[in-house]
Amino acid sequence: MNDYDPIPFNWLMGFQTWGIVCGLMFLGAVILAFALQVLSHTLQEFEQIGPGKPRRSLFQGLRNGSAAFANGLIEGFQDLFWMSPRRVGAISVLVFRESVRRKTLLVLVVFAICFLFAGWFLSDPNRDPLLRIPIYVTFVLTAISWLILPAVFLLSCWGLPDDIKARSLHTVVTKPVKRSEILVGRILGVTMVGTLVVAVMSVVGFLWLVRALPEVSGIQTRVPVFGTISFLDREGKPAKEGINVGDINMFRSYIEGDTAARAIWKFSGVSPRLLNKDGKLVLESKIQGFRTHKGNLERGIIFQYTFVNPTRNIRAKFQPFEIAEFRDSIKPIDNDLIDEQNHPVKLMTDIVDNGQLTVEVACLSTGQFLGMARPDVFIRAQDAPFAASFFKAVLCIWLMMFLIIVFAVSVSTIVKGPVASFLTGVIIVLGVFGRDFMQSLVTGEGDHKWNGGGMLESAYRIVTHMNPMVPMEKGFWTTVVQVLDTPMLLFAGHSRAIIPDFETFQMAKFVAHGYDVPWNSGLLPAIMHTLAFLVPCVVLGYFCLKSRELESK
Amino acid sequence: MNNLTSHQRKMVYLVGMGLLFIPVITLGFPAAHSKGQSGGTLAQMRQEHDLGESTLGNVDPSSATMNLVLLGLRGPAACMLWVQMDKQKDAKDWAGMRATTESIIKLQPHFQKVWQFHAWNLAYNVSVEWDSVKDRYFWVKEGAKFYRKGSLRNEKYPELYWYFADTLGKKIGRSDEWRQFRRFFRVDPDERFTVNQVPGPDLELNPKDEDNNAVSADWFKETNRIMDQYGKEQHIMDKSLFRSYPGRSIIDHASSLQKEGHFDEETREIWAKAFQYWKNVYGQETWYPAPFIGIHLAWTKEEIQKFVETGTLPEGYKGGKKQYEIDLRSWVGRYQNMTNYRYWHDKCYSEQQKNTMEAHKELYDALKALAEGDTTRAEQLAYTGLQKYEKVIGDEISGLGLQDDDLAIEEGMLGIMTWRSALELGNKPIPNNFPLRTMWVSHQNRLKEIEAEFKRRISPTKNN
Repeated sequence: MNDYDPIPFNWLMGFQTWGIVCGLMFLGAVILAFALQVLSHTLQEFEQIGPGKPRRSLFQGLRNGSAAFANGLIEGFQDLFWMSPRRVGAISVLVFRESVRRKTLLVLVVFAICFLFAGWFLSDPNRDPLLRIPIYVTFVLTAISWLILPAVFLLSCWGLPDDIKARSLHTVVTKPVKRSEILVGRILGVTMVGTLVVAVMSVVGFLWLVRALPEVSGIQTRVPVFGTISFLDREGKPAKEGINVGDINMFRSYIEGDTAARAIWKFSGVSPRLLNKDGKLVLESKIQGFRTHKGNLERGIIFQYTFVNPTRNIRAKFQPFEIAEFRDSIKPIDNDLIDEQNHPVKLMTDIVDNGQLTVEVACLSTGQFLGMARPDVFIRAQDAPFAASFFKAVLCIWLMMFLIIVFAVSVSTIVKGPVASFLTGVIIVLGVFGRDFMQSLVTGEGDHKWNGGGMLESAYRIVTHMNPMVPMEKGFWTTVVQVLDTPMLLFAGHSRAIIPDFETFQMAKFVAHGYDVPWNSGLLPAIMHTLAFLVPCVVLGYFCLKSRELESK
Repeated sequence: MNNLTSHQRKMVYLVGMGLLFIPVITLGFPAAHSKGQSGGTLAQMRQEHDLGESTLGNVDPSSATMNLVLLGLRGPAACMLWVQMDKQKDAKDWAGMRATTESIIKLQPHFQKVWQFHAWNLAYNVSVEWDSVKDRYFWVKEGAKFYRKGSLRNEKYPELYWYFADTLGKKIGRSDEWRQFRRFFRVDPDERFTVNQVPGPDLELNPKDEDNNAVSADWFKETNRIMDQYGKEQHIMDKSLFRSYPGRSIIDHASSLQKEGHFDEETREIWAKAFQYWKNVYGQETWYPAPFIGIHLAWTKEEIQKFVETGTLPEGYKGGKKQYEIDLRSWVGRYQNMTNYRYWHDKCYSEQQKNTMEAHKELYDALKALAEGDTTRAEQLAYTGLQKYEKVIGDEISGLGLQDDDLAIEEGMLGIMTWRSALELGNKPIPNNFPLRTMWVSHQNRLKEIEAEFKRRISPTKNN
């Protein structure tokens, strides 16, 4: 959480992107299916009518193909929307039994071995709890993720192809079972196994955590309410951001001490429900310091909050205090404050303006700097128990597992086990490691900024041994190569929209650092991400299974 | 393919496997447990070249397991962890960085530079990232403990011992935060080291509740002992300098006490101890700078003469006794210059004298009184202090080595500045004649630099 900004889920942008991507994919699939139907019927007509009447063959093919396509589409959607829960349930139970028979639950033994020897590899138990808790919590959540994923990945990729190969699916489809039910039943069956394993692992993991770190059972997780941030420069004029002090990590920007430079936070939705049991508003900060001179080493850099009501021009200063870098700096703010004219004012009625609270942060130490980013000052609402946060993180792991199952089962409807595994594996690897790179293909910026152009330019550079940092000579062929490369790069970059972002499901960063998993920037994006892939994958998987010749091995 | 039956083929495979086992067993037979047993070839080679886990230092089972489980992928795994550690450091994820460091070290437990890099990183680079001096101290300790752990894992090699001692002495005793760090070394701010409501030291580093330089000196002595016992070379500096560090640490101990205003018998005793060590231990070590030449740093001209006269020339030496004496004197001189032996010898000797200590004390108290605004006391103390200091510097015995010593000159000049400032603040004229006038006149070129130091010392500590 040191340099992580939890951005709230943007419904509009989310639906817009999803709509465009799914719409394009659906359109592509429809055109392809239609073209294939028409082609196949036209060829049939050619065979039946003979080569003497091509126009008639073409017309008949178009008519019959269109009708078959429309029938297939309607039938498909009927199959998808009207499924028998009983049949789906029966198939799920069968898949569950089959998975247990395949010794999937042995993954729990591996999990147990990991935990038996975890103490050997984790940090020294005598060390500062502040340093130990993140390591232990991250270990438990990572262990659950990395053990469950391969198990469900293999089950999902190989189950359906194996059934087809063993002709057991052939027996099933001869019964009055829809193919959508087979698909959904298989997804639910594997999910049931995964859920059981995740449930056992998370409960055992939690108990292990409590036993290894007794302080965990007593800790509470913060429920932060984040605001927006803006800056004033050293002369008090609005600035886009603060000063860059040369820190390699650009997450924070800095304000100079003893000048008019300020960082201003605006919090919305501030109401008495955010007050603690003593009727105080708790502000927590994670501000970092940067010293340009040694100063007084016995004291930290000093900063001050000023609560502002811009409408009524009320400004109330809070007593200055020292920063506590990389630690909790918690300040309960009393409702009774004194404004700059020494008049008593009430925080919740005089300062909070229509539910909006403005807080200015100033550095009071001359020649020293304070580094801040949006999540560095927040209102701390009523704390949540650690267990709640932990199990929310587990829920996100479950969602990730479910997404992989949906994807893998859908892929396995059209390709064989090894290909399905490869494809799903590639998607996972890209989703974990490749999204930033793909983003940089579109924007040309970011951590993975590349040099050397697109595919054609790179090929040219490889052949001619040209360093990627050397610019291409200007000329006709360079222009041609770069013009051809641009759409390919953009296509590759935009393709990331169909790659799941597995970072969305990683909640260890919250739990490990004592934060509750937030709804709008944690759980909601994870749920929406899963649903966004669930719908197209199931539709695609169904139509693939429907079009597949199950008798063939 | 051939005319063999399945059974025959299996038998052939079995025989082949059996034959292949012979070299495997011969090479890989475990090390011998008792005398008379030789062990496998690999075990013998491991023992011969000191490459076995147990011959290098104590064994960490988790490290051994990890290296075994990774098979040949130890290198790529270590590379990935290094990259991860660097990213975590950039992102200021200290907990993650510390954990990754531990993982790296499990993969590279006998790579001394790796231990050194990470320990330095923790003690120097990570500690300064924290604003609170208590937090900084925590990370300095983490770095020192890391060195200690590394020295245990590589217990026959002196380098990590040296770095451990150096961190306790130099990082704690000489960094910007030396006053706080030295205090924390005895009274740790971490509540976990408070016993019966009495805050105490971190026993892992300071089990006997001693000064950091005293502990450092003990570890430097241990470093020299390890070097003698196992005969391993170090690659930090010339051996003659390397071996001087126990003595240098004792000197640092006494100097630190003086910097903190302790001018008592205890400080004098430590100077005496430093002198004893310098002269009788370090000074008596034998060095062999050239063929046929064996010298001691403590040798005087007379001692060399006597040694040559009473002894015999080394076998094979081609010159006469006169030449031998010239060679010895030349090498002793060179080594004394390289190690600054005479300077430290004279300094230790002078500082243990009572009158030297008194002069220091009065000049220190004068500066303190001036900083507190007590100009009358400052003037008196500075004047008497200067008088005593003049006597000390001029004295044949206690002034040894002080006449040309930069620090001694700085102290004298600071004393004069204190006295002059006290007079100026009291609206009194500055007399033309005063103790150490010669020094004041002859070192006017250093005035600007010493004035800056004077202002720094008398200015009250600013609030950031």
